[in-house]
Amino acid sequence: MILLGLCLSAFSLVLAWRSIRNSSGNSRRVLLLITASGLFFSSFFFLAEQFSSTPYISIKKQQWQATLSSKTGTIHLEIGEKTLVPFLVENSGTEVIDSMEKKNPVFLSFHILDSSGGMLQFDNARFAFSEPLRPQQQQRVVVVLDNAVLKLRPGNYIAEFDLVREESFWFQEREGMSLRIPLLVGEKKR
Amino acid sequence: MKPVFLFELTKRDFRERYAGSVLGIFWMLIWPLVMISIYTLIFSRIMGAKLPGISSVYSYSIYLIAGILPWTAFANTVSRASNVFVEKRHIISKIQIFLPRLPIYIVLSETVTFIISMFFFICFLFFSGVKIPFAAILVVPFVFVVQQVFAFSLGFLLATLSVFLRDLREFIGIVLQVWFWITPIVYMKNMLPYSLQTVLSLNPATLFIEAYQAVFFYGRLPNFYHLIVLTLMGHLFLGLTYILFKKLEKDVRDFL
Repeated sequence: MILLGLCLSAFSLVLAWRSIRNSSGNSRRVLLLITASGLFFSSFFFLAEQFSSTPYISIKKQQWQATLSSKTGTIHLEIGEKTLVPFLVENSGTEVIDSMEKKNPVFLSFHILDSSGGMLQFDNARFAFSEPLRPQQQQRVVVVLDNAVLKLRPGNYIAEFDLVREESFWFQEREGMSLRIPLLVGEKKR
Repeated sequence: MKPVFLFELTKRDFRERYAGSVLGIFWMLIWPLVMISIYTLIFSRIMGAKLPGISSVYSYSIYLIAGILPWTAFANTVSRASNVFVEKRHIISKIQIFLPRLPIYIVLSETVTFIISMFFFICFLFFSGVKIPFAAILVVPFVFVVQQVFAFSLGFLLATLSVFLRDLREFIGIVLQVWFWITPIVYMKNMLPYSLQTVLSLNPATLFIEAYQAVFFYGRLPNFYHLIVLTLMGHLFLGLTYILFKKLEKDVRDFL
């Protein structure tokens, strides 16, 4: 792929050189130059993409990354009730995930979205890791969804779970993956 | 048109812009400084505006400035270039000029303004402790060139059409206003419903604005595939605009 990118950029430079040297029709010369420029910049970005995926540039290697998994397919919640959602969190980054850290502790939390994905409640309760989670390690964390606090009316929602490093960022913003689970809020059964 | 003439036009453009003012060309430095200070003061200090999930005091200001600076360069290039043939008709009628080169002095002029603004912005990021990978900063000039190719081709097309339709100038102002609001500059794309996010992704301005936000706000490399799409789109558009211009060139000169 890198070779292809290099060939493309070399070709674009040859094309540009020819268009500058070409003494025939002005229009042809301009169009040739536009093509050469388009090819050059495209191949530059293509090469940049290829290089950024290699170990030579470590910018894409995420320090803060985690994988969330849960066996819960759909969360059912009733008005005024609580429900527990267990998660398995794997630290796939290079930093230690620690909820006890003084400055920027990391917690598991969630957002509430409407059924079409629009944000309804961004900041919600935080759930701590029982002990620091080192890279490649896994830990079970239980999230409690309490509708007495959330105050969601009956309907279909989406709960989006993600890790948050306080006063800094959500892992999703660092190209991490959040986990979305449908949330059904129903009337209280009598 | 020789490069010397092009530089002379650019220089004159700056001189005309600040003609009669006491501080003259220094306004070029004052404007971006004031703009960055105002955004930081109002949004970070007074309003305390924060982006969801990011508690840094300056997060919203950085996000906003990262989008507004390239947008200003883009919008100014398009709107000013769209009137360049009419504006410079006194030169066109006197000297034999290769017309497609005329909007280039506007691109150059806006590039100088952009570089100065970016310099202050990067200084601000440095002093507020934001770390940006060097490799990501290196990509910025390439993003800017591709963005300006797109702005140039759009401005060039509108400049050609403006010769025949003088109302176009006013219309462009409105379109640019609407365009600004359908580009995620003051808000984040992921705050919108999915359906709108898809529509926004089709907006070419979103592609380059997101590239700047990736570098300055998220501190990562931009999505290069989006930039390839933008490059191909911009150059194809430029090629087609040039072909159209060649067909209308004689009429353009006659009308002027």
